[in-house]
Amino acid sequence: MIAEADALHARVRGLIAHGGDFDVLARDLARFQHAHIPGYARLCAARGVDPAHDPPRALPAVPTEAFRITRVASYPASLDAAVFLTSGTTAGARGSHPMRTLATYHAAAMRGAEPLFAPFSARVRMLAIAPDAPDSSLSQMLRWFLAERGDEGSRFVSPDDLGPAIELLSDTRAPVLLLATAFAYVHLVDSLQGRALALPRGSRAMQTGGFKGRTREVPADVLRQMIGATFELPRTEVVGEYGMTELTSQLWATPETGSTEDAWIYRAPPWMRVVACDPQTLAPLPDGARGIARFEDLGNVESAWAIQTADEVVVRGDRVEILGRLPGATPRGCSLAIEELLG
Amino acid sequence: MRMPPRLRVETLIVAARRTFGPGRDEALIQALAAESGLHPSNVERALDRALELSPTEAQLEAMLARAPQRTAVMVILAANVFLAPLRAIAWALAQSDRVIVRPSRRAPTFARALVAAAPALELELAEVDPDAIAELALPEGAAIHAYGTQRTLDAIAARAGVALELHGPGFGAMIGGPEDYVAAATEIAEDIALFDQAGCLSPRLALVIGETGPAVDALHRALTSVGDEIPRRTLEPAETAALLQSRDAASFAGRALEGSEHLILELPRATLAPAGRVLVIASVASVEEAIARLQIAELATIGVAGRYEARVRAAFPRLRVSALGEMQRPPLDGPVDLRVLPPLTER
Repeated sequence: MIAEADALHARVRGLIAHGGDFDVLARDLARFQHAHIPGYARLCAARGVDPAHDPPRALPAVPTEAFRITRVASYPASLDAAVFLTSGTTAGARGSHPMRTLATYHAAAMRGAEPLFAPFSARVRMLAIAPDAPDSSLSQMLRWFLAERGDEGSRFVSPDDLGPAIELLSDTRAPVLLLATAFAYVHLVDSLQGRALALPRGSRAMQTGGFKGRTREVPADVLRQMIGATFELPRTEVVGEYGMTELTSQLWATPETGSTEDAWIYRAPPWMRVVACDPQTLAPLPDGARGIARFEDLGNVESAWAIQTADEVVVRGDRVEILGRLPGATPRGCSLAIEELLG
Repeated sequence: MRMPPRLRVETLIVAARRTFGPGRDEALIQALAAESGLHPSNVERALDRALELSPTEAQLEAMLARAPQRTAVMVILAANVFLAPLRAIAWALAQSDRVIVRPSRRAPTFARALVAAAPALELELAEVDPDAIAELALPEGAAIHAYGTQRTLDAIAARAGVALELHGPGFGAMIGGPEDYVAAATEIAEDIALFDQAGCLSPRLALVIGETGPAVDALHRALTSVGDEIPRRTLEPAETAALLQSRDAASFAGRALEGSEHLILELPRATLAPAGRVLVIASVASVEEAIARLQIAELATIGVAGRYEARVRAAFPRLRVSALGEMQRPPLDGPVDLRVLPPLTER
């Protein structure tokens, strides 16, 4: 089983590097996971489908919630190379995504981020305003960015202590690549109290993540403008990244993806497909329809090749507009919404 | 007209009996069903089974013993459980002869009908916007009792100068052995079906001390049977989406049993699923483990098998604890949600 998984990892990394047939690999991943992850076999049986006969798109996606309530992996925990955890919540357990090897994640992250690094011909000064946490998949990706594309002065700065970040950004003369979560940007902009902090020409800012568990939320378009205005960056130099602990691959919103004035437009890499699904049936919807996102991520070799989320999207080809979580049901007094309890 | 607290509460109950008891107006049922989204049969069953029209002497005495005296009480009601205004107003009347009722804007029917049926109590209706609540003039020594979402309560909590009693979101859980669930399956299914889990008395999590199988099977049968008589309310699109994802997550992690009107999720660990006639069932090794798993601030009520009751009551002195299958019928001895009040023994 491990040898089979290793072979699949190698095929996925080959596809990431050189391209290949998505559908064939998706089918083979689904069959592998059906054979070696009893939960996926149960889910397929419950939905009355079988990867041996049914095409990948007809197979069920694993809801993100499953990562919170059970282990999603084809191998035993003793072989974990890393276990990435979802954001903490007040009462609910954190979801976990174990990985036996980081090689495929590394390949997907670095190849996927090429549009981010495109303007920089050499190593660049990077400032990651994020915790450098071993159980965070985002931190892992940023560590790779800093180590492989950053210069010697690149570093992490805690979002809880922005003094060093402001000092470093104030002093910099060369272009800088700022990497931070949405909440960290808001915190940073608040700390500047309306003061602009012009970054040198050629700088970029990457924004990722949302506001889960935070007290202040800012709409994505407003935040993007806020980042541009604060750091005096052209709008095209504010780049968006969309990732989830449950995924291995990321989506990027760059000038090339044609973002609109008020929304990020992301591009799924060739080894990932995003499908809008009918929230009432989870059935795939046609291109251009609004639905909840199903991510088919070939990077998830040993966990779940297809993930179902509650994020609303409109998909046109490989362009994905992410609209945020499906609006919740009407609040009904003291009935507790699951989000309230579990984050 | 000044009445003693006990008479005020009894007057309200008599008015409720006249309005919502046997012989009630069919149009009222339809109005409550339309407003709440519940099936009319759910409204009928709730009025018959869960409305507190016949409190005992001891229950009323307990309520009065709990009640601090106020110059006035403003009751801000939520749209969760349509018959909740009776208990909420009774609790206010136990504290003051001046009670101002602010019905839910989305579900005012029950409260308006009750106020209209009890003119002797001179209840005041204040149908104001939430923002205006903070501006209302209340006398010194008054209190606000608010029921609702955390957002509503946070807005009201900013109000200074009066005592606040804030009843926030909550849910119900159950503890018992497999045979306890089998024995009480029909009553538990009714507890789950009533109001379609809109309130904090509704069981949403069942911890089984031992094997879950018999409890799952018995509750699936009972919920199927109840569903034949009391169809589930029409779910909103977001609720359906959440239910489908919970179903698939449970199929992956354990087992999902889907009825036309309900969903049972058998999971390897205690967690919570969306409301809408959905029950999560998880196994625990002992009552001590069940108690440890339920150390959650949002837990408001517990249904427990008799042999575990003493230990559960001792572990949760500020929660409502009922027998399995009796969670929707707590005694009329105070507010439904006791979390914000000190236990009677501390007074």
